[in-house]
Amino acid sequence: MSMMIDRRGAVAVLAAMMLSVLAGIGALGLNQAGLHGHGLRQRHTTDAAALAAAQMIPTFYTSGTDSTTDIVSAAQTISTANMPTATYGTIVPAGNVVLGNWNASTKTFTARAGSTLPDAVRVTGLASAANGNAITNLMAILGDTGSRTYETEAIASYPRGQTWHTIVTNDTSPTLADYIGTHRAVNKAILDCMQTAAGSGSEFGIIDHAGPSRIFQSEIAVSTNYRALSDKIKTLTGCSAAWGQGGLGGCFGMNLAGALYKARQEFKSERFIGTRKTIVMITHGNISGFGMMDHQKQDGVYWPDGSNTRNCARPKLCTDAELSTAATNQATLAGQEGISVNVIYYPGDGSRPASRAAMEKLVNDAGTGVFMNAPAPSKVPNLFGGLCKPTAVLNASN
Amino acid sequence: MVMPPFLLLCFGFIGTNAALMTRSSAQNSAQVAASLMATGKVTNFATGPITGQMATATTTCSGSLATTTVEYWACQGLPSWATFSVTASRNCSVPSVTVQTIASGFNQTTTGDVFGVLLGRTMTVTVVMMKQGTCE
Repeated sequence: MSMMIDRRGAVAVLAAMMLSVLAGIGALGLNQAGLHGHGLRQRHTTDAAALAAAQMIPTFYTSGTDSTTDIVSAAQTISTANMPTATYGTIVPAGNVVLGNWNASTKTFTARAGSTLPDAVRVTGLASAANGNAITNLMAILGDTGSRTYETEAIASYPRGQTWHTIVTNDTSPTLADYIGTHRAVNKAILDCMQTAAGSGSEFGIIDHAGPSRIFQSEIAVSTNYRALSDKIKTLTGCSAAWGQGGLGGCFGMNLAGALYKARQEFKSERFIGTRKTIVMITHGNISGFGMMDHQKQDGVYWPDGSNTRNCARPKLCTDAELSTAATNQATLAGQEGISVNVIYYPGDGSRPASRAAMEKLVNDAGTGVFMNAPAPSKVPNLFGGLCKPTAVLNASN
Repeated sequence: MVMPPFLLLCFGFIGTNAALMTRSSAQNSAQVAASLMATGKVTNFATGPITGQMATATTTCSGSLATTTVEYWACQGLPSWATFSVTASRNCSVPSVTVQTIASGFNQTTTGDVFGVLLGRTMTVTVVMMKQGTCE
């Protein structure tokens, strides 16, 4: 009997051993759940940062210096708001915000190289020892490395919308001489909107006028001529005697009918058939012929277009009232041709309630369009509604 | 002698996992709600339309929320063992939207938290996204 083994207490030893194993397995489960939670949060943060950065891509163009400062700042601001630096470190370092282009067909992102114009941004979220924010690993107690690296990536693009064409007519008459900087800023704001939001085939053109009108820049595709158009806008100046007609200088009078007529003729080109067309008129609205100008067809005083009749009572001259009527008729014709007529009104060297009312009527006559009273240039793209502010799209997230 | 620590471990794991699961669920739902709010697909709080005058609202999750409200989406898929409160806000000067979900009142029985680890605690999940499109 002395050979019998005393087994009492064996279960306690076994239970203690099992407890250790269970504790290990349980800790592993908790560790994975914790890592999953962090990963989920970091992925959402990276997605939100990429969307914010993509939304700021227009600033790349408006900066004039290809600046990415605002884009990076937006990504980091949103990243920090979701995962505060004090707790999580810098999840999105500045170098992890990369501009480039998204190919929807191949679903690939290409980082910007040279002078490529970007439409997408790639943001990489990083939690690592090298980045100074590795995730604490509960398994360190079991001899693991003590930290985990977690990398997330999101690509978002600022998509181009539908194709539309715009001609901006600039009233550069002496009344608005001091506004030439505003003219340039408004032209640039519209151009930037089209560059970042319009379909790639969208064209932009510029007319300048006082009494007589001229094509300052014929319509060309924005996507491939953005820089040339930007440079051309910088050369926009007040009216010049050099481009007058009929022996009169270009600064003579102010005729919107001629500008509208010219824009309409430009939009009659075959390539614009069935497309969305917009005329944006920057003007003080004080239509004037000074009763001296020999008004021709190009001045918009013949209508309908096929007519050989000048709708002015006198043989050559048109009164201010007749030019106002001509502008109204040109706006109506534009509306009938599916062209939206918008007016950006600046009173210039004096407030003219009647002129403003006439400009609002002009928009109504066209049927579609927006009247804006002395807007800050940055607000002008609002006339295109949501077109200038499309919603950034998340293309990839992993 | 072994049972107390064993049970403490077991229910500790269960309770902590319940907390982590709550956090993940709230994170996912808040992200969806913030996305819908940021892109303008959802334009209402439970208390009415999102406007400049009413740019923030706090609502307790319940089954009576309409699908057209931010809170409805923030309250989707949340576990039943806690009470959830959603505060959604829009800031046009940044511009950004924020959806914050606060979990409280953890139920000891349904979470298996017999030791009351979660008792009296709150858990906060915040998602911030840039407001897209126009924000007037």
